Amino acid sequence: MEAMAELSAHMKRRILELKKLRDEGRKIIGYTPGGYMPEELVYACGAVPAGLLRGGEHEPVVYAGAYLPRWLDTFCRAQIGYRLLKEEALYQMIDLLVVPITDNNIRAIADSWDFYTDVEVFRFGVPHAKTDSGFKYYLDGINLFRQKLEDFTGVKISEPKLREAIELCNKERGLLKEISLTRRSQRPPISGRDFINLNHASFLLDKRTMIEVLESLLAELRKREAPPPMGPRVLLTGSTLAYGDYKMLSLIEETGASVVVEEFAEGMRHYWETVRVNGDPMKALADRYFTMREPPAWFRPSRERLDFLIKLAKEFKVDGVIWYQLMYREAYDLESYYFPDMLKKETGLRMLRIESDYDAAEIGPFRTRVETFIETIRR
Amino acid sequence: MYTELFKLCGFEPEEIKKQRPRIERAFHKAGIVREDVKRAESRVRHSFDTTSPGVRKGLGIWMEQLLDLVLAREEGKKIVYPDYPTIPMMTLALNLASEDVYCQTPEIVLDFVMGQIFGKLNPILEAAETHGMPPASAMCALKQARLGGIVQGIVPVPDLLLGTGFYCDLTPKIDELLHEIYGVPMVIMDGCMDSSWDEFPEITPRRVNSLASEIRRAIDESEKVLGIRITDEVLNRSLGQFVDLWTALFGLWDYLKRDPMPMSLVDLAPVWWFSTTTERRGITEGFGVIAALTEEIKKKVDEGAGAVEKGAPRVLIMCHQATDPGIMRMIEEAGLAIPTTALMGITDAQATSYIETKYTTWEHRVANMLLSHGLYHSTSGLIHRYRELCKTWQLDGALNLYQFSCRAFCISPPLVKKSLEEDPGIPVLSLEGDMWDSRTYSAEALRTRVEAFAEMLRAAKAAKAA
Repeated sequence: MEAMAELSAHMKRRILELKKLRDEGRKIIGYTPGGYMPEELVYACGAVPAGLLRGGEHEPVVYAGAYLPRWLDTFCRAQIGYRLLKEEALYQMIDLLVVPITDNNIRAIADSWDFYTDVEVFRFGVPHAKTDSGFKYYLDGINLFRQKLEDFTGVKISEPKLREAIELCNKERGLLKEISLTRRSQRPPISGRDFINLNHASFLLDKRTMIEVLESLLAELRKREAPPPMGPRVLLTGSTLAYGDYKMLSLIEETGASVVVEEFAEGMRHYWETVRVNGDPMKALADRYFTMREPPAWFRPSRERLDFLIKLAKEFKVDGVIWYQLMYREAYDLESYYFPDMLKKETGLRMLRIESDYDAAEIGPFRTRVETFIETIRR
Repeated sequence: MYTELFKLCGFEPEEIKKQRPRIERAFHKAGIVREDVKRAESRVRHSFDTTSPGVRKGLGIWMEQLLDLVLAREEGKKIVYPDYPTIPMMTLALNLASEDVYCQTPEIVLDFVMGQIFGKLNPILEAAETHGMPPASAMCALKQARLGGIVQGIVPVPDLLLGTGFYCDLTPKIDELLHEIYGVPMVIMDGCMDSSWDEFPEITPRRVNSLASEIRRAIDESEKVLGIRITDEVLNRSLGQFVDLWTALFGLWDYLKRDPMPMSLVDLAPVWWFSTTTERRGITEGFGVIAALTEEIKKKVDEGAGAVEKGAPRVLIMCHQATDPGIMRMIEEAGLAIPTTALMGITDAQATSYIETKYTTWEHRVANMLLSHGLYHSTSGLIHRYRELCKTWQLDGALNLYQFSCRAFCISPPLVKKSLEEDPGIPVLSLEGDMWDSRTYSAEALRTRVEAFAEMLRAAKAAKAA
């Protein structure tokens, strides 16, 4: 597809573009990709948001061992590894790191960057239940973040600019959702891999560029003759699907199965909801990012997320669920204990749980397990 | 079969006779048999100073706490299980609000009695491992004890789970798991550790207000679920009793600054835990035990007696092992004096913050007290507190024995090591461990490293003195 080739070319150029923007005085705002950092605020003050979502490689994890104990989530440990290894250019360009504190694993990213790097770190908390006080705390947090951005960039965030940014981000989310929903078809016009590539690119590319790519792609998909029926349809879910962590995707594809929908706490942009465009924009942002967003596993009650997974499984007519989580993400460990029964009861589907530490030696055992699982769900 | 054990734990024969029906029912429910009692006698004799009446009485209170916990349902109590990290003033308030309420953190009782005294904790942990907390996932063994104790039917299913989510992420998830399995109502007091790195010792009102409103919500919800009233008078009384208990403990702990350190931390730890798990019995009877121990320790100081040699290097230990006293005893036998730990460590600055505060409502004062410890504030707050402890207690080193299965805690070890080596400039030995599960220890490997560290500290101390 031409749009995907275009996307790939943009991604190759992006680091140079960011360098140029930085040289011109624009601030690069790095952030943890858990879906709680309103990019709208960054755009509205003329800075450049960049999701730190690199993962899947063993070396940064090993390197991070000197700075954080191994008993933390693999992706979170890798983030300080990428910065200190100095091999990922993006990780060297960050002027301000923004970390919405969701759980202790994510807090480890903030603490390790604060302690071991000269990058300024800004935190704001994400409460773990959608209560009124939780909403207020989150809203207060993003107001502090807005103030921080204004101080850091020297640019006042005006309401028109913020509304413009909201519309831009809504557009991107809307297009991603429209493309994703095409996969409900029995003959999806886009593969899981292409959709994940698109989603990951949306954390790094300029929004306007991304929107152009998404619009071109959607036009192509509408015209495109759908490929022949595929093997089993899989819902891929878990804690983090990082940029570069494609081994699970490859293993599934190698069996002839396809990922038709994904749900992750980190690494995948949440595109199901948009920000309300009328009323107080800050409240609208808090409403979208905190209240409307399908929560990760450390939220309570967990039923909301698990019900959402069941809904996705039904809507996308999947044949099975693969739960791909990283080591020591305990909230996912616990939910993976009782979710299979819920899933079975509601849909009759089975689930495979796989846990990774970004170790190359995992591939063999994972392959055996994925192949076996796909065989058992093949119709 | 248990008379000797209860005598070792400070019981008079009449008390044993009076408690006999309860003991037998509780032991039956907990699966404690003759060989367990024999093992417990041996462990108590070997691990604790049974010549000390105060130590024996302290152990006795814990034995009775096991009976209270196991029999709470059949004794008609409304049962509330607060989580650890706990808010001790709140546990106390619930206990003070009604005689019908039994509010206690069951995992601490199980760890202390089934672990330290009976050496029979492992089957409880293993039960949790087959019910959603798998081994090899670095799951907190304290939470495993909570889940396993209920799953095994040793402790009753409660009427309310009173959880905290302002520090540990796993705690509320375990309560949610129990809620899913048993349908028990739960109230979680939430919070976010989102303070900036350089904020502590200041604490932003935002965090205090947020935690305070969660505490207030939990009180209101508890009243509804339990059908009780928790009046302002009760709340103020709980705070007053808690501060009194802390004051008594400060007084006792202050003697550990003497050289030689007059008593072992292993012998004092049981009374310290009364202040964390403020069940009614620990408070009402705890003051007497602290007073007795204070008299004993004064006498030891006058006599120049010590639990370790005079001049022994003094170290901070981050996590003290709480299920097997043999581990802490081994560290002392290696020649190290451990007067304080991350959890027990109280500095003058912190003690003052408990009393001198700008906050006026009960829940704000409690929230401020919790956050002022540092541990629940931030990693930088914890490091700040460690530095204060090292200076206050004039420590020669730190055993950075950290709780590997605690995500919140295990962010800090490398940062702590580097920080303390820079300021106050003391040697730090980092060790992975589990204060709630002795299965993860290789005793000899630990001994070798601790002995080498102790030797190095002794040499450094001697060189400094010369």
